[in-house]
Amino acid sequence: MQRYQLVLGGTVAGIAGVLAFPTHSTKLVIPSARASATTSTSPTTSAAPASKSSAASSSSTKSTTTTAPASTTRSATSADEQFRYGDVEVKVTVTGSKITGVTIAALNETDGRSAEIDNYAVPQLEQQVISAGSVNINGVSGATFTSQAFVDAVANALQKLGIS
Amino acid sequence: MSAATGTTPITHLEAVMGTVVGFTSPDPLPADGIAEAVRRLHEADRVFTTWDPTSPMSRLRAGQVTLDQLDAADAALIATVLDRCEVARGMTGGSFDPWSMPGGVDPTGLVKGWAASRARHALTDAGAANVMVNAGGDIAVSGRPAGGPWRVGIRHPAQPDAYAAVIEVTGAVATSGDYERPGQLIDPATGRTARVAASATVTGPDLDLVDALATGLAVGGAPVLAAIDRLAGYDGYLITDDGRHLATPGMRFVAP
Repeated sequence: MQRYQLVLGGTVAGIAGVLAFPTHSTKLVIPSARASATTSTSPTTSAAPASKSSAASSSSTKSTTTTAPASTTRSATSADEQFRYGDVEVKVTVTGSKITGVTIAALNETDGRSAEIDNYAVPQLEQQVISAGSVNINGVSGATFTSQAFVDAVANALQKLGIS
Repeated sequence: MSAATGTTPITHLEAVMGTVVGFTSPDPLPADGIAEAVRRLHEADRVFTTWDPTSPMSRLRAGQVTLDQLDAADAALIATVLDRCEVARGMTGGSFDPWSMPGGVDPTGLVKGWAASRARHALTDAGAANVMVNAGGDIAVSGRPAGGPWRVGIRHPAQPDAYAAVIEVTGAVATSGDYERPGQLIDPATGRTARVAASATVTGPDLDLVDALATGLAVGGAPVLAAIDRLAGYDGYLITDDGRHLATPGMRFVAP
């Protein structure tokens, strides 16, 4: 089985969209990597549950409510979750107990064939989400739920934040 | 099967094989065609289900019987399906491999598409020129509905109530992922649950092979997409775990 490598920069920048988190009904908005870097910039190296102070600084960066404990913005990065071609770390930002951001903190892919992959890229589809009811179709084909690796990573990050 | 504006009505719904199979046509469907199609679906369920330990396929898997000891008609169906599995295994370079499944050979990844394809042939043979058979997202068509080719929405892997794309289909389409029933995909290389694709769609002339190729694409990812690109008549559309959309040039995306 041959393996491949994705270009990390393009990959992370390309992740924009909305994820439904199947174990909760909450919808997770995934900002682009650049956007998230400016909105929730606590040092990702620190373990989040202990980082109340750094969390406060991150919420001040965001310049929203800074004092009320219920709306304190904190973030945590999950442990690596393995998937077929590597591992993924997800950074989850919460305000109070509400998820306000999910970003890919690290994505490690093994063995490379990025050039060949790029030949098949259809980047315009990455921006496209067609709502049901607005479209004339005869049938539906498809899998339903979010990537389990991603879900596991989000759950892990939430656990670190004391929200499970 | 969400309704949409101007959608051709579903003529018949049949609960079978752990899903609901719909027959859709712009024309009245012949009753004898429906009856034969339904019979074939239930026959496939009875012979191949791995949920029932007493099914012919389960007994074969468990080594309780050999093919020769089964009812001849059931054995012929199993032999046909295993032949198709072997073709699919070759086409995917081993990413689809029923012989590597825990508990013995398991053609489940191909059977639903194979059965739906046989149902579609039953309807066509009975005179239905324009028909879609949709077995829980494994879709075989012939002809066309009023107003153009059959159009199929590819469910958005992150949003169950939305589509990632709409494609036109003239033969068959199947989409595979690890999500409707998490853990259903096994990587033959490791024997473990495989995760690479959020959604893997394949189109082509035969739904059984299309179904198997979609399973292989979901497990094998982009290298399998390159393999599908080299198969005449087959195309693939892969949404990766990290949200990239990859497709072979022949995949017929249309504006929603």
